Amino acid sequence: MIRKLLFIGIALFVFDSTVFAQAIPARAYTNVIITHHDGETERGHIVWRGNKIEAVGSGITIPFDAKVIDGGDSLYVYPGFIDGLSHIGSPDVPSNLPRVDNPGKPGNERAGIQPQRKPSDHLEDSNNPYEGWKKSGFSSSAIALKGFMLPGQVEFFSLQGSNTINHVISSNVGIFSQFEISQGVYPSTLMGIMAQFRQLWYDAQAHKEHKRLYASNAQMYEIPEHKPVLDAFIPVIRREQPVFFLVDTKEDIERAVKLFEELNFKLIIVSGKEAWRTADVLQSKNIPVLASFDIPGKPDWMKDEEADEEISEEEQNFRERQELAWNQATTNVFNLLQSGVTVGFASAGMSAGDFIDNVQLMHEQGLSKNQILRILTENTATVLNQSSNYGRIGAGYAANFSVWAKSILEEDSSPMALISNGILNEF
Amino acid sequence: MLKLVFKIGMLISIFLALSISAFANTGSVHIKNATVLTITQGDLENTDVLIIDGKITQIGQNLQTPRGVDILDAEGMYVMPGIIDSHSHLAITRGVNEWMNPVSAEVTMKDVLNPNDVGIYRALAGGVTSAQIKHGSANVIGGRSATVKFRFGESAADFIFEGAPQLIKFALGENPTRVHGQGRGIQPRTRMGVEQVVRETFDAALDYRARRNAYLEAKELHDRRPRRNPAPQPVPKNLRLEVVADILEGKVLVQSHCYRADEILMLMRVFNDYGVENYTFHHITEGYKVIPELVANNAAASSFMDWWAFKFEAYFATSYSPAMMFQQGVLTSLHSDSPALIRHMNHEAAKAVKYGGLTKNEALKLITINPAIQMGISDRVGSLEVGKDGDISIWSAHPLSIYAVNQYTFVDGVQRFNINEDPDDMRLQVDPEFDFTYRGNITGREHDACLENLFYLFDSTGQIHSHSHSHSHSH
Repeated sequence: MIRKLLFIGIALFVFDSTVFAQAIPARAYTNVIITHHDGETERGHIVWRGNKIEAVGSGITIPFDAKVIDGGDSLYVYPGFIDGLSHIGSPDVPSNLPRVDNPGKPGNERAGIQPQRKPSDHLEDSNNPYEGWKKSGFSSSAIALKGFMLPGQVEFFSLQGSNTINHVISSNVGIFSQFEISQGVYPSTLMGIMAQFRQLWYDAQAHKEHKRLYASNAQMYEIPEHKPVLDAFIPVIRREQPVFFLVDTKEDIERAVKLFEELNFKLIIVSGKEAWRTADVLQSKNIPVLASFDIPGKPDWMKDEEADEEISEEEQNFRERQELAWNQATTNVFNLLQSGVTVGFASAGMSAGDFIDNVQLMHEQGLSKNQILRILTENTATVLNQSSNYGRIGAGYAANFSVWAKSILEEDSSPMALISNGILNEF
Repeated sequence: MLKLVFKIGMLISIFLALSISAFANTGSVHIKNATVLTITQGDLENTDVLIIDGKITQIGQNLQTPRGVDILDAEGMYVMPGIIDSHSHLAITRGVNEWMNPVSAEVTMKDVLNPNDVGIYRALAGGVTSAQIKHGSANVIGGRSATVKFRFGESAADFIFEGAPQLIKFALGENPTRVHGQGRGIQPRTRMGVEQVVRETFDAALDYRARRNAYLEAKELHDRRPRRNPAPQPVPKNLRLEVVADILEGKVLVQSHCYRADEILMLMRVFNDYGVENYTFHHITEGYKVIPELVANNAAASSFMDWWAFKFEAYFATSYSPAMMFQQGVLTSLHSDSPALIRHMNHEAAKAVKYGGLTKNEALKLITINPAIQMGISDRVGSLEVGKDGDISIWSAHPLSIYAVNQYTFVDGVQRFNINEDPDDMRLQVDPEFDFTYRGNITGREHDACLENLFYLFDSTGQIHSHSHSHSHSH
């Protein structure tokens, strides 16, 4: 028996130096049309073992132990899409918050100042909220909890259905912020949030310094209090983590940029529906945008091209302005790229059901297939600082990709399978 | 050599002056043959005003038009400085009152300007070019103001009046006592409490500044010679108390909402105790009762003309009050406190001719140079003088005439309103998803008001009534 095992061990070692990995059988899609993160297309095979891609291309050898699915030269494969910031699985914001005696000092939790909260401690995935995004080709997502001004940390997850909560790829991705007030307490206004953000920063700076001094000479300084909210700011002050700021209007983006300039943190704009209006600033300050694809629907009168109704000059004027506004909203991402801004993707509350339709509409409005793929894959991985393992189909990258019967840009297209962290999900 | 140094010094100072007024979008225009109401240098018939790159460069007759400068023939028209509204809540996004705490000096209206508010265009149509955008009156010490120029079409940051002194809202009387005392049972519940909030906050700020300065000094010593000077334990920067301490050091000027004579006297007593100067009382309906005291304390007044009796503390008022204060030496202005009134501030000024007998020139000072002095911007605006900004309104008749209609408004020499090019829809943005018939909230005094968002607290008699959405007056 021992001999036999030894023989198998040696045999495995001869075949491949990754002895341990060989214990997991390989899987492969053969004869598929692979579209890479940059839009380059090749016909070939993908072999993955465990959660890693082992080989990609047309000339590769399929391992003897591989379980093979033949694509028959007609299936399309895309890199697993990455959601740069979602709220998938987050509990909703509580609606009936308790009245407090002194709303000027409500305590951090009641005020929605909880940058220390980790999504992996709070996500509710019992009814599998991830399924819709998986069925749109998404294999991983940075997730932030819903909340108010500072709802918590951002963590990067592999989308694994109801087991997602146990698949944190990376904690400490950043902290999430937005201009949302918690009713009935301070800060109760936008200007209050701006001031509170600054005050938290000043307090965290002092807290960080106090802890440093105490660590250097415990006898000389007071014992620092335990302040998890301020502790969560410390890596942000050190510029080890960015702030993911969910803002849409030009003015709100400018407010986030104002804080960024005053306090000197790393800033990522999330959603940014009017970001094109500030593209020059974002480009010059090297601020990336995880852009929303949640674009407005066409106004009714624009859908009805045959209509020949009499309208007033005032309404005609309105329609011209509205058409311009609609075009601007649907070309936001395109114009950001044209201006040289780094653009990734964030669902940021959008419904998965709209995703593919909106991709196709944005394509009609000028966004090329290559641009779309780059945004959904490598760009988002780069913004999330995950590009060494995510965002590409290539040997050594995470086994994340989707398989489609037709191109993503064809009508009624949707994935037939998603490989997420090496696990095959067939739809 | 000295000459050279002097010349270089001049060049540097010119460069610095230019970089302070850094707003790039300025214009040039030659306004010809108008009646020019300079405010500070008399009324000039058949006179030209030349604005080059945003500044008034010449005022006189038969001026030469520099090449490339547009001519505006204003024969028969009246040119006056752009009107200045010292009290407005226009163009504020998501909250006029940070009303959860009776002191909110840390917030600033500069953070929340909404440059897309179409009310700005309406104000320009009324000849207004600058305003003090103020925090509401829910708090004893409210937020800091934004002094703005109405550069409609530019970004929020471009609205900020460069170099204008920092102003801050205070509020006395019923509004803070209703919101905090009646509403929540916290101080201030009474007028006595209002005074105590001011005093306690001032004391806290003095204490804070001493501790913070001691820390900063110790830290500086440590940074210079770390071995000899141990690092001090940090005293965090406190934004709220920083601002209050700056009030006490004269770096932030108080603009206080008030009605009654007793509360006006109270605040002046407190300010004298703490050495606070250069402040302005707003609304000041009982100002006529305390004119000698206002004069003695060099306190200014930004008054309502004929708004009163909308609540108990505002009963004792008269339209003669602004003229009385003006004539007896109080630096007096009029304000709108309303997105509707801001469109016809000239009518407000005209009432001071009728009630109290101000001259026309004096009446116009109430909406031009006097608010400019109160806001610390009179070196730039408020009168037509060579070297001042090209902020101008041009009227079809004397602006105090009820028949006068503003024709043109210029800010920094840039035409921001022209009655001949005034389409129906002047919104800067149209929502792609709204229907043509959607009109939004275009009426209602709840918006852009002192107590915006708080009306639901009160019933029609002004009593706390947390279940209704009935109205109460905002001022």
